[in-house]
Amino acid sequence: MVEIRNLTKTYGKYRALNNLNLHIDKGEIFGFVGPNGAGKTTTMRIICGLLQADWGEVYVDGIDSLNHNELIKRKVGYVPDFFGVYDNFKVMEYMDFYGSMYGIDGETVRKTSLGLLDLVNLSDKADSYVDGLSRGMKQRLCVARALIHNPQLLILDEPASGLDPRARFELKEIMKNLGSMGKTIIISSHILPELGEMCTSIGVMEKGNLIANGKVEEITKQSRQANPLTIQILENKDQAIQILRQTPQVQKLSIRDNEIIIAFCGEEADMAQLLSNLILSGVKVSGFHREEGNLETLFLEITGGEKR
Amino acid sequence: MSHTKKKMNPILRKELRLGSRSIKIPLALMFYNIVLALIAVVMIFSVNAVGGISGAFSSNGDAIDFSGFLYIFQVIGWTQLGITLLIVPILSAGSISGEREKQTLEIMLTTPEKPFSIIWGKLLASLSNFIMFIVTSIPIMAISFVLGGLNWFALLGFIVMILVVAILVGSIGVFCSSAFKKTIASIVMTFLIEFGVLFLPLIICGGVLGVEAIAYAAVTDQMMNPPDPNFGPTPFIMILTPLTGFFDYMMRVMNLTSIAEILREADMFGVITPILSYAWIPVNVIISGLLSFFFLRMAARKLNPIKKRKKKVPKQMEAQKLQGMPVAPQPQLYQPQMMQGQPQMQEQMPPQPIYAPPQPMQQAAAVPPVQNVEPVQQVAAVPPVQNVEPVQQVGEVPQQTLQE
Repeated sequence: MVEIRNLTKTYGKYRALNNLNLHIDKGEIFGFVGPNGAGKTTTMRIICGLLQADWGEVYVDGIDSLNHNELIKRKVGYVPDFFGVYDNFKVMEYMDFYGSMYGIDGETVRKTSLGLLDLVNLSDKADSYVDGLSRGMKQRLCVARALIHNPQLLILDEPASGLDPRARFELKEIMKNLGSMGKTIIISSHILPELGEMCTSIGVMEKGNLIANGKVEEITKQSRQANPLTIQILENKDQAIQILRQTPQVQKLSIRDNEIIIAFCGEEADMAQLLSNLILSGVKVSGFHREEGNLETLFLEITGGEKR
Repeated sequence: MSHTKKKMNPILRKELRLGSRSIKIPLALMFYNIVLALIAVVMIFSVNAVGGISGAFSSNGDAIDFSGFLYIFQVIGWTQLGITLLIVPILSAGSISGEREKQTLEIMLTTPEKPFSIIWGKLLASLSNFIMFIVTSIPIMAISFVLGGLNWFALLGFIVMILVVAILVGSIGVFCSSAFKKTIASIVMTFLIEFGVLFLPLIICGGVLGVEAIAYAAVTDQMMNPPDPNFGPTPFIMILTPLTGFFDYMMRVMNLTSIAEILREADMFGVITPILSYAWIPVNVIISGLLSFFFLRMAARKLNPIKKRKKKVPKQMEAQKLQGMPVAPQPQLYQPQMMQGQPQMQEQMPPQPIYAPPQPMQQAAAVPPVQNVEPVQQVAAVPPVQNVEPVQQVGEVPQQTLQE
């Protein structure tokens, strides 16, 4: 659905995107992760045709975005990280305006809008002024607005920022619904656990580079191996430390009261072996577990190299 | 295609809808017409008191010359021009920058609506408000018709001439609005450009003409048969100056004279004068129209984020591209499936890690060459295979279809 090749964008001397290559399949919900200034928004804006890349190509549904800008715009719906609403408009009028910008006739817009407002739970607000809506409602209205021309690709930039947990939950449900409708969605966020729940694949960006990319399960599984192993010990701590020092997979070792935390790079089998070694040598182990991989720790790990 | 109804510009429609909800425009209209009405009333009484500029109400009551009321048309007409030059920049200079400040401009630009269409809609919206100022002032202007004997065509002509000025000023306003981020900067710049386009050439030309006339008079003072004056191109620059059309019209409507006539009477230039006299207003209107179009196009250009011009391609990248290599100075952890030729490549490559554990990542950051070598070698080995296979596939497909 989306194909990005060698995308480079510089602002003056600052390189916002550095030869970005990315591929997103049709029907995927792709989560964009990365610290501020990593180039997520830049990438999204280039896909939408709001920004011109210095170099590189973007294809949406096989169409070159630079030369067929208008065609692309009919295929892409964009929800920026701000609302962009006219306070003096009623909800339906707001939808009607954007419908007319796409050249859709009034009757079709009305029907589509009703369906979309239903999708984002704003049906009862159709005749209210936009001014009176809460942040979450405005955000959902923006999502409905971006869908007015039935785009195949929906791009959301930081949709969850500034929303309360309830509004976030609702947004997440809407995304899931849209995903099940077969829309391809690109979503950037800082709220990583939520991205993990709703996305099918994610890409981690930093300093204009894509540093990790793949299915959510695969990435969290891989990141799991990098997580520390915590061992709680009741007795014979010295014995345990000695064994751990001899084990080749153990790389780092820190001791805190009865807990030993180790950096362990090994498979499940190695872990089992280590545990049985400990027990056989008379160490009383009361706890032995590895932190579950989640996007948050992964994110911190991957982007940890560059402190901001 | 005869059934396709021409749709209203969506921007104009939106602005009209939003504008109708705002209290600002009605208030401004009210204020504007109160000022005009006050001027008219003062004029009527002054015409009456002085006995008319040309004797409207004669003091002995013998003759009443109503032509004094024509001056109401003049005064109000010129006031309208002044107010146009003040109001239109304010109406138009916030049109795009206002959207930018509301953060709705970006969204507008993600729609397939063309930048020029957005600009055009904004201009029409500004002018629609302005036209309300003109239309609501017609009753006051009409005093000259009721009492002064001007015909309605004069008023129509006046509206056309002031619209020409308004379109030009509005285009400048929309251009500034598109070019400058803040509305305040845009308004200030609109006034500056307005002055530069409308008044500066007029002041310069007028000054030059005056100096030339004085010099001519001084030189030819003692001559018996003075030569024809030659003022060079200055009068022709004047005809190109937007505001002179309006001036000319206001003179003609009073049956006074025209600018060209004045120039001829001053004996400033010879043969071309009669033509200039007829052509002055049409030429001037066309020039104004062209200038407006220029500003609108510039505004649309400023608005369009995608400029289809060839960007300079970094030399290194170009070289790599020519060799058929993927331009990939940094680790590519995920190979896209859709890239042409890449799927074959992937079969021969060891499965690439989707996520590299942290330690190698740091190494990669510190020692990039190590990471770079691998992909390049692999790719370099592959191209022959890549080139052959697609050809085979292409050859096979038509045969199959033929057999079927």
